[in-house]
Amino acid sequence: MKQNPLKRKRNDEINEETLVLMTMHKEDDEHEHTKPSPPSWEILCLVGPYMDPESLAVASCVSATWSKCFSSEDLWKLLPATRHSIFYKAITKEETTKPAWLSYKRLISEAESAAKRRRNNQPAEPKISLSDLVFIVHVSAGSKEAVVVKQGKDLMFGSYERFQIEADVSDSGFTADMKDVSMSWNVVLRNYERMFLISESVKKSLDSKIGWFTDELPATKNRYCDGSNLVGEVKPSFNEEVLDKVVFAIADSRNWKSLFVDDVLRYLQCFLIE
Amino acid sequence: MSSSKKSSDGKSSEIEEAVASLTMPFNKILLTSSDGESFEIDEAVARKFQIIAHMIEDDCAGKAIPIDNVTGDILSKIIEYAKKHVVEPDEDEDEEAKKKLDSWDAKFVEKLDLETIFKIILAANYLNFEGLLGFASQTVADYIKDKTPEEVREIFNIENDFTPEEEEAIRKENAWTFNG
Repeated sequence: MKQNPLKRKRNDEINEETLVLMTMHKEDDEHEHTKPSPPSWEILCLVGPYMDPESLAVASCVSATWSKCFSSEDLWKLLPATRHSIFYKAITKEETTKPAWLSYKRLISEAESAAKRRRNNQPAEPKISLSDLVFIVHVSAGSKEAVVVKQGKDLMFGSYERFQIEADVSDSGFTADMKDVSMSWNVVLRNYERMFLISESVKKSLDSKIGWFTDELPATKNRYCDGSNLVGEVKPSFNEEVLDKVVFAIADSRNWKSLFVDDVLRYLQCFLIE
Repeated sequence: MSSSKKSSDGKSSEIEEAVASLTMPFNKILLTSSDGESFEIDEAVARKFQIIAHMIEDDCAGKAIPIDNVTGDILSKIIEYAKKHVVEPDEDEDEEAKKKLDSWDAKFVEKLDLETIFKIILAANYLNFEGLLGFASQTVADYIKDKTPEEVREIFNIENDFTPEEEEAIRKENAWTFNG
């Protein structure tokens, strides 16, 4: 950051003034601070909307005043939220009003953090069950969109059954001729405390009607899989030309078989629990 | 742009307004800063400031408009920016012009220290000059981007007034930003 060359040094007694709101009426417009005056509350509020989630979070750690300003729900609500809006829509599908425990800041911070973890392949420790999880499927093409929520507790698998999520999108109007269809499925822990993203913005066209595999999923230090040999599996099924269901699973790229439920849980828990 | 320093007492500004109404060329507006500096600008430029645009619409703008909240040095910078942005090039239609303007904007703000930028933000907000408000605010936001809290404190000269317990709690809450 540039500083103008010092012309005149201000008295140190001015220190209190640095905490006062910036005044526009300065009589002596030639004075120079050795350090800039901290921005006023008004400035912080005006700049806030232009910051991304990570900057807001860092700014919240700067001082008590900054923390107050940059933790404000109104600010976090403003963030352009493609990923986050998926979760918001999922939550409000269950209840029509915004639940009290939902904080935009927490929701968005966690979504950003999950994306970061996915990039950094940070593992963790385990112990979760299906009833701890909620699966959120998102399919979109142009202006059409479907969000399907599957409660883990409603899913039944024998422990040696292969895991899959079946999302019914028959009334969303996706057809086999659509290109640029993006499908993702995400796993969240309990009250959106943690999230795991299985596929991010993979766009495909539906015309071949066959399924596909995502890129390799992040590796964990889990004994079960060394390095990641896991990929996401996406299988659309059609009723004539209309997309009826999409089935999601996790597959082992060594044998192209879908994982069993227990193995999926062991994998997911690495990312959902510290 | 003509600029003249006058003493800022009420009487001389009244006279100034009267004189301006009689002598100002059509389509020009005279803005006077809080410290008495005057700027003659085209109406089209003045209209970038929504509060002035509304005054013109509502027919209560004289030819001379006092800007009580903004000093001359800041007002001069704001007018400089406004003149460059009277016509905003369409990114799709004229990519070349847009690039040139972005480059000018970058140089414009590069020369300014933080305090001046803050004053510009407040003034642009007061004048309701959305384009400059957004640009200046984004500039400040960029100072914060990709920095640690310590670095931000250093740049903006902020005192860390958390108690150790508060600081730990806040860091924990925002820990996701710190891990690479």
